[in-house]
Amino acid sequence: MSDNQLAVEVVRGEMQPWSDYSGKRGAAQGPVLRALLTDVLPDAARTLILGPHAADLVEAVIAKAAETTVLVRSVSDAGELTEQFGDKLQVVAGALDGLVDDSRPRYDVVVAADGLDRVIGYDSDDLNWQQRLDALAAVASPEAVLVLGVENEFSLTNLLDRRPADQRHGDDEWRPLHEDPTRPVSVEQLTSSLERVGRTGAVAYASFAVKETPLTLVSADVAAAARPGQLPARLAVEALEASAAVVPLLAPVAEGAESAARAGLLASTPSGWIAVAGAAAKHAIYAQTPGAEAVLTADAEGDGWSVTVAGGGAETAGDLKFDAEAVPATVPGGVTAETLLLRLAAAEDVPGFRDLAARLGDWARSQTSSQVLLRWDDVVVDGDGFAFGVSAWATVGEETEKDRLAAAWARFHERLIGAHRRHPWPPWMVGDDLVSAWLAMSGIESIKQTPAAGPDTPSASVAEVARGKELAAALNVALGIPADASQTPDVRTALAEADEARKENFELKGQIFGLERTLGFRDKALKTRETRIREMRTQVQKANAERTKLKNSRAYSAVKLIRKAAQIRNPRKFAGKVKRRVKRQLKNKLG
Amino acid sequence: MHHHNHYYGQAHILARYAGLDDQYPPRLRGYLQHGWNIADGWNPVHEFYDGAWRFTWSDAPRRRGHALGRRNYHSIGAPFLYLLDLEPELGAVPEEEREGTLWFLFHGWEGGKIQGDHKKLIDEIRETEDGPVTFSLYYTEYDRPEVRKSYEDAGFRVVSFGRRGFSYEGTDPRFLYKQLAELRKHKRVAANRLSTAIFYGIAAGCEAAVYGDPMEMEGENPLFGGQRRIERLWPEMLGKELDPEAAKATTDLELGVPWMMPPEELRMVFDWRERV
Repeated sequence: MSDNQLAVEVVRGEMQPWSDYSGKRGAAQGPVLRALLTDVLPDAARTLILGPHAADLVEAVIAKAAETTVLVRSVSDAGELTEQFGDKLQVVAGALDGLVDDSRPRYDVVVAADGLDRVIGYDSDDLNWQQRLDALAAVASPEAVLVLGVENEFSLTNLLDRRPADQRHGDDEWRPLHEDPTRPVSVEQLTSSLERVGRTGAVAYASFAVKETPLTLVSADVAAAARPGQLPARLAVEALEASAAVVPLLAPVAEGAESAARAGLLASTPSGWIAVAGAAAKHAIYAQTPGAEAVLTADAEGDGWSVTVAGGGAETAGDLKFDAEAVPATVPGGVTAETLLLRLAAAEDVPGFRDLAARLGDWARSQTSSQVLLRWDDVVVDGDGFAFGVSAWATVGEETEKDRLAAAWARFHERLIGAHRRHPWPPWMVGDDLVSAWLAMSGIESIKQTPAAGPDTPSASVAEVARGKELAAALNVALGIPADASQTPDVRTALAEADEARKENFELKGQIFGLERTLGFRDKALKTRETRIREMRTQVQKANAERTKLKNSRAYSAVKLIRKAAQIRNPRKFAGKVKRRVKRQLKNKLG
Repeated sequence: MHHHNHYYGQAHILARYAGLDDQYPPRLRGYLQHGWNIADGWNPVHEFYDGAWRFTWSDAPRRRGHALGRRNYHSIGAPFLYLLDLEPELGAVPEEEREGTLWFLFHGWEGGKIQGDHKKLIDEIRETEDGPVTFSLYYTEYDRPEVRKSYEDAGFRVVSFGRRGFSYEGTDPRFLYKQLAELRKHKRVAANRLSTAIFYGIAAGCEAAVYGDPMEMEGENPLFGGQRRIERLWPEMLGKELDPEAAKATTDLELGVPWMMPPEELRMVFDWRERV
C-alpha cells in the first residue's frame, strides 16, 4: 500500500500491518475509565487522545471536547476509528515522536490512559519512558489537563505471574519496555516524573484492572489507608481476583492484596496507576459493579462511605437481577462479616464463629424488605449490627430465609475451603454438611440426617442446601467468575490440592490402620468371650454329669424316698391306703 | 476408633446425646479426650494413628497439642456436660438437703498406683470437713483393702463408680451417671489434686476444695510441668475454700462449655451417620 492510498492522516512512525485494538492486547476501555474522564475532563477543550483507547472512551472525550484528535500508531486502527467516528474525530496514524516533529498547536487536554508504551513504533528512536513523557509534554500546553496511565511493574499480578518475563507481553516488546529503569514504579515516582515536566499537583489513582480494563480505581491516598475487609480494599481485591482469570498466577492474588493492605501498600501494588494533572479529582473510588456495566463511586463520609451507582439496566441473570436501587446511599466503613468469620475459623474459635453466625442469622431475618442476595463478603459490620454493602445483585423471586442464608454460607464455604484457608472442621464434614452446620448456627433448624445405605448415599444436607448453592452459583455467573475457574488454579493452589490429596491418602491409611486395630481389639474381646463361654460350657457339662451321677445314686433314691415320706402328713391314713392297695394287688394276682 | 473413647462411658453419653444407640456407641473417627490434664488431653506418650483427629473438651489442649506438632483438633466440650443436659434430675435433691463432701483421692490407673501417706490425708480431711465425708476411690485403690480400709476405718463412706474398662471390655457405661448422682447429693467436692472430678463437681453445683498431700504416682511423667505448673496457672482452683465464681468460670472453660454443640452437628463432626 502506498501513502497516497492511506485514508488517514499520517505522521512519522506509523505501523502497518499492526493493530493495538485487535491483537494480543486491546485498547484501554471500560465504564470506570469513562466515568473518570467524564468527571475530570474540562468542557470544550482541544483534546488529544494518545494511544489506543476504545470507542467508549473516545465517545466520552468527544462528548466533552471542542475538538478531538486521536493518535494511534497502527494505520489500520486509524482507518477503523475514522470509519467509526467520521468527522467528529481527527485521526492521526503514527508515533508520538512523529507528532512532536509535526509541530502542531499544543493540546489543552491529553488523554493517555493507556500509558506511554504503545505510542512509538518500531521505526521510532529508542525513547525510554521519561523521554516519551517529554514528548507528551511537548504536545500539551503548559496548563493542559493530563490523564496518564502507567503499568506497575511491582503489581501483585506481575509479582505472582507464573510466566517468565519474556512470555508476558505481546509482539510490541521489540524493546524491553518493562525493564526500562526510568519507568516509574511507585506513585511517588509517577508524580515526580510529572513534576519534572511541569505538571504539579497531580493526583494518582491505583488502578486494579483486568487486561486493559480498569475495574476499580482508588485514589492513592485512600488505597494506602485501606485495610483488609474495608470497602476500598474489598473493591480492589474483587478486581484483582477477576484478573486471575486472565493471568496465570503462582498464588492466590487476594491473599497478597490483603497483606499489602495490612501493610498500607495497596496503593503500591495495583495493576497500574492513572494520574490526573491539571484537574481536580471528583471521587475517591470508581468501581465497575461486577457483572454489570454500572459504575459505583464512593467518597469518605464520616466513618463510612457515601455511595452512588450510575448506569446499568435492570439486568437479569438467571435467578438474580441487578438492582442499582438496592445499593444503600451510605455504607459503614468497617470490615465485612466474612473478614471476621475467616479470622475466627483460622483461630479455630468455633464458639466465636457460632456466636457471629447466630447474630448474622438474626440480622438477615430482620431484613425482610430486602431481596439482595446475602453474601458475607459484602455484609459490613456496623457497630453491634450489620449492614448491606455495595452488592446490587438481588433474587428475582421470593426466596426462603433458609435458602438466602444457605446461599451466603455456600459462598463462604467456597471462599474458605477453595482458598485452602485454615479452619477447624474435619475433612469428612467439608461440603454440604458444613454448610448445613453453619446454617444451623445461624438459626435454621437442623436437618435430620437419614441413615446411609451405601458409601455414596447423599447426606440430607445435600438437599437442604441445594437451593442455596444454586443461588451462590448464580451469583458467580452474574459476577463473571468462569465456571471452570477451579480447573485452572494458581500454582500454590494446585500444589496445595496435590498435598491435600496426599494427606487424604495418608490419613485414610491411618484410618485403616486405626480400624484394623479396633477390629483387633474387638477380635481380642470376642476371643476372651469365646474362651469364657467355652469354660462355662465345660462347667455346665461337668455339672450335668455330676447331677446325673447323683440322680442315679442310692443316696439320691434314699433322699427322694425320705423327701416323699416327709410329705406324709397323716401316717395312719397313709398306712390304710397302702394296706388296701397291697390287698387289691394280691387279690388280683391270686385270682 | 480407639478403645479409650469408651472410658467412663463417654462415647456412650455422646451417642445418646446424638440420638444414637448408647449401648453400642458407633465408632468415633478419632480420639476423644477422656480426662482433664495440663497437656493436650492425653498422656505424654500416647500414640495416635496417622492423621487422627483429636476431640478435646476445650481449646487449651488444642493449643498445647499444636505446639507438640499435632494437628487435626476439634473441641467439643466434655461429655460430662452433655450428661448434665441429658440428666437434669439424676440424683438431684433440694439444694438445702445437699450435705457433706464427696472426696476424690487422686487415682492411679491400671499402669500406675499411687503412693502416699493416707493417714495424714485422713487427718487433714477430718480437720477440714464439717459434714459427712464420702470417699470416692477408683477401683485400682478400692480393690486394695489396705487403702480402702484406712478410709472406712476413719468413718468415711467409701464408694467406687466402677471401671473405665479396657479394650472395650469391662467399661461401666453408667460410671459418670453414678458419679453425677453422688455429686448432686453432696454440698462439696474435694480432692488432693486439681483433677477431672473437681471440675465435674463444680459443674454439678458443688462447692470445691483442693488440698492435702497430692501423692505420687508410679511412672508419673513430669514432662508438662506437674503440680508447680498447676499452681501457676490455676491458683483459684487450689485451697480449702475456693471463690465459687472464679472456680465456675475456670471450670466452664476447662470443660469446654462454650464448645458444646447441638446433636446434629456432633454427628457430623464424628462422621456419625447411621449406616444400614
